[in-house]
Amino acid sequence: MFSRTTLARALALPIEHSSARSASTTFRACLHQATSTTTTTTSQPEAPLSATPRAQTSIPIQQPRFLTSSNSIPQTRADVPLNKQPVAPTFDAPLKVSQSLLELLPNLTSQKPHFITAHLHDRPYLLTAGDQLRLPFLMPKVKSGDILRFNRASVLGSRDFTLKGGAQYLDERLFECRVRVMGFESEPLRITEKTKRRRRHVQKVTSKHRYTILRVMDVKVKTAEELLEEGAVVVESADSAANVELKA
Amino acid sequence: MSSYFRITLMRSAIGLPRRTHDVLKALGLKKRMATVFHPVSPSVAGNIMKVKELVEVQEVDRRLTKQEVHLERKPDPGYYVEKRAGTELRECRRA
Amino acid sequence: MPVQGIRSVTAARNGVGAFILQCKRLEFHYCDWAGSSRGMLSYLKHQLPAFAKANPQIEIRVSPRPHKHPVVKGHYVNGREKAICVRNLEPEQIVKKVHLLKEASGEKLKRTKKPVTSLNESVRGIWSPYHGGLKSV
Repeated sequence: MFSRTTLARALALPIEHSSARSASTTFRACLHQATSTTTTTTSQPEAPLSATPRAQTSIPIQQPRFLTSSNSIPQTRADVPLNKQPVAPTFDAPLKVSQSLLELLPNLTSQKPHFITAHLHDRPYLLTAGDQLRLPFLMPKVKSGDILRFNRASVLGSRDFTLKGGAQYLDERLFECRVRVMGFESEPLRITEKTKRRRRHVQKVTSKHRYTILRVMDVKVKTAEELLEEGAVVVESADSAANVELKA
Repeated sequence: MSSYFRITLMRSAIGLPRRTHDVLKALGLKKRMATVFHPVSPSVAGNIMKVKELVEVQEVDRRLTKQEVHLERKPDPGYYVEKRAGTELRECRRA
Repeated sequence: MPVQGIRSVTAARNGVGAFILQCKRLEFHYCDWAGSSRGMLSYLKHQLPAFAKANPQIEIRVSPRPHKHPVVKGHYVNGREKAICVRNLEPEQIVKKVHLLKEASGEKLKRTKKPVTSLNESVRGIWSPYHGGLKSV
């Protein structure tokens, strides 16, 4: 919860920054050493407090940079970087596949049908081909008949095999999940009656949410041959995009 | 190189002494999960020390705007439009 | 021998292969005299031709209905119809109503709690306590 060294360094930060920075000693400034004047440690020479060399021991954490299309720092809600928008991705590095994944992938691809746990705005939906999906929001800038690709999935599976992404999502080049926008529906008008005590007045709150209706066209796990054809690189170590698991 | 404290209020000061409330107010933390940035200095560090049980502190290299802090939490949409409605029909006609 | 229901070979699943818009016909009714049709008349003159051109799959009928409020009716593939009264509405508001009718499926509005509705059998099968992973006591 609380970075003690960070704070201790700041408390001990003397006014003369320049001299402290130039000294390249690896003394870790400690809160007790900086504040208490009575104790003198053996490793420290007898010197006035301000003159003790204090070097920057911890490096500040680099903050992530979200660059918008205009290459500026996002200021308002309108500045959404490209990777947070629903646009087709561009890849600069080829897909890394481990040897074990290549060996186990035919088990999964040969067993039909498949299911996918696709994440839309971080909400999971378990889908199979032909399902109807009712999203709890009105999807912007689409109309009925459009074909969408889902590109965030945590789990791909068949009856006996599962491809899991682990902590992050599966690489979107491992599978194809297409859905079609069927239209927009709404729920029947809901009226909630609200009352206050000792008041003969009933407030009626209405709501009528609108939904996007989608139809899953296909859920396909790409085979090992297809992956290699598309330029996947085989890596020995385990830092590949996913791991296949045998179920029971 | 200047660095900043990134302070996030994790626990509310409700029920704590007035002094604790005042320290949070001085830091600019009004509600839980609010994030503020302050340059690394002894006075700010002292303030943090007063409320160290309530906040989470990181040392970072620059200030983030409010929108950038929001974007860190914003999830990916998870979809994109592959084909528009009319294009399929037009491809069929051409073929 | 237990009674077996008739198994359907296929279930209609629009959109998996081809996609058919569920709205097949839109009817616009107006009145030349009444003031509540003013917005509707403007819509019919200016916006409707472009809408009809952009949506060739929808049949569009325009007919007068004197001494009545203007109405837009949508007819759907499933045989149902939806009617929206557009009295005293501005042309821009009518555009929204027409869009709503076009994108609707024609089904009666229902409150559903689950986001996914599936006709498929479960991929993983139904769990059974007697198969697989048996633990001896």
